Amino acid sequence: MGPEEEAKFSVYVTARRDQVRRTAYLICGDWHRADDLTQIAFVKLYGAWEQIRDHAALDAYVRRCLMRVAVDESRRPWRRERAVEVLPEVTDRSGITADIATGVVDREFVRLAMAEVPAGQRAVLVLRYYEGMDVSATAAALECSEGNVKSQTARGLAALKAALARQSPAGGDSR
Amino acid sequence: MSDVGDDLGPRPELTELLTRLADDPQAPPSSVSALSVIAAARAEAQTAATDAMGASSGDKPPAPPGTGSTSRRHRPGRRRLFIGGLVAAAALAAIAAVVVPVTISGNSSNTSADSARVATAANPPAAEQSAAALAPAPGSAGSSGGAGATGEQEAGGAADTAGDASAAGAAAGAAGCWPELTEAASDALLDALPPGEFEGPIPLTADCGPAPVGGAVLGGTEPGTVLVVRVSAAEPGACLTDLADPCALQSGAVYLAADAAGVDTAYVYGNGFEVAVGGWPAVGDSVAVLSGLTTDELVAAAQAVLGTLG
Repeated sequence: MGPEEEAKFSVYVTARRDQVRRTAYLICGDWHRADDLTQIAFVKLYGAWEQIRDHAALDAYVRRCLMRVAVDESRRPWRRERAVEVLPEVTDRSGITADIATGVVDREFVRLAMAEVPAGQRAVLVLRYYEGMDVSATAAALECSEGNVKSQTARGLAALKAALARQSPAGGDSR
Repeated sequence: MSDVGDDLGPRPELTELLTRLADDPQAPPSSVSALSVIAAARAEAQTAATDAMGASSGDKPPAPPGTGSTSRRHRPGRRRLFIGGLVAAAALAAIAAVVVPVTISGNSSNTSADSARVATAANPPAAEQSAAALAPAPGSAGSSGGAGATGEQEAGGAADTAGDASAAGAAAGAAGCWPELTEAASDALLDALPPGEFEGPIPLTADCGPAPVGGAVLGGTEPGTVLVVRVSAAEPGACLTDLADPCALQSGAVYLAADAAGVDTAYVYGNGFEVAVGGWPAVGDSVAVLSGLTTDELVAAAQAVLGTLG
């Protein structure tokens, strides 16, 4: 990559890093792993930078790299999530306001609920409801069919609802 | 969250949940920077060159947009074709290595490649030139078998030398045109900027000006901001002649410009220098990035840099 292109790449990374990192964090639930995923996604972008003609599609390309890396990473044996009887680092939720929709939220509470959603479904939820992407764009980012996105969305929402209900102060009282 | 799971439409409450989770004020600072990415990419490229077959399919990046699609279904076919080609080439080489020397043994050396070899022995400096001239004739040399191989090696060596020279020239041409800012200028710049809003300067390697003196890019700590500093040798008002985004006189030796994307740039002149400070303009197909600073702050930063220039 020539110096001019490298400078453009640097500016792009600088401008988009935090947004990509936030998305990665929502998928993996750990800021340090989010940094790793972000770095890998940008490294892949660097390798393809000179082949990309449509710079308006850079965000979509990075998103695809990020999703692929995140889902692949979650499948590795040493990253594989395991079901445990006791959730780690469960916080005292006695002070949490019941009305989550109003925005009074304990981040750890939501993070733990998201961690209970399977990785693929979590990625769909993040793209659909955090990135605001429609079904077709989500399917493109995840390199799967739109039908798959719809089914994963439904399952992910159900899983998240169940996780939130399990972790609610009422202990399973569906809100 | 009472209706989570009921349908697949927009869910503002879930968006709110995720946004709050992502906007964690206690998140550690990111360890990812443009420099770290570029360094990792270069290291990965070197590793890939030495271990081309080691990458797992899951680590391969998707096909870049705007290029021909690299469908997974076609990869095994291409790999088979590639391996088949390698096997065929190896078989041909083995046959040639055995058969050709036997058939031509005893023949006199009268090929162009042999001429090059003889010339090399007689007059090495001149022979390198003649060998380079003979290099594009591997087909004729190939008919002479082992002797031809020697000629090809010599010609190839000369070609490598020429290639190294041209590569060195290309590398020299590819070097960034903006020298790094002096330490004094960097310090003055950082002192003039709002504290904590920008990271340290990194070299600027794009958008070469007519007389570059120094340049730097500073990543903003606020998402989506960047500051670009360019110091050139120029007369006051030189930015007025900028065809893309001409500046306008603000006061004295201070000029301001704004491009179509709203990226402001302040130009300050003095001592034969032009100091331009602003965001990253949308030049060509590059992404426009705002600096996040007011024009007064941009002017102050430019004046601070100019103050260090003699």
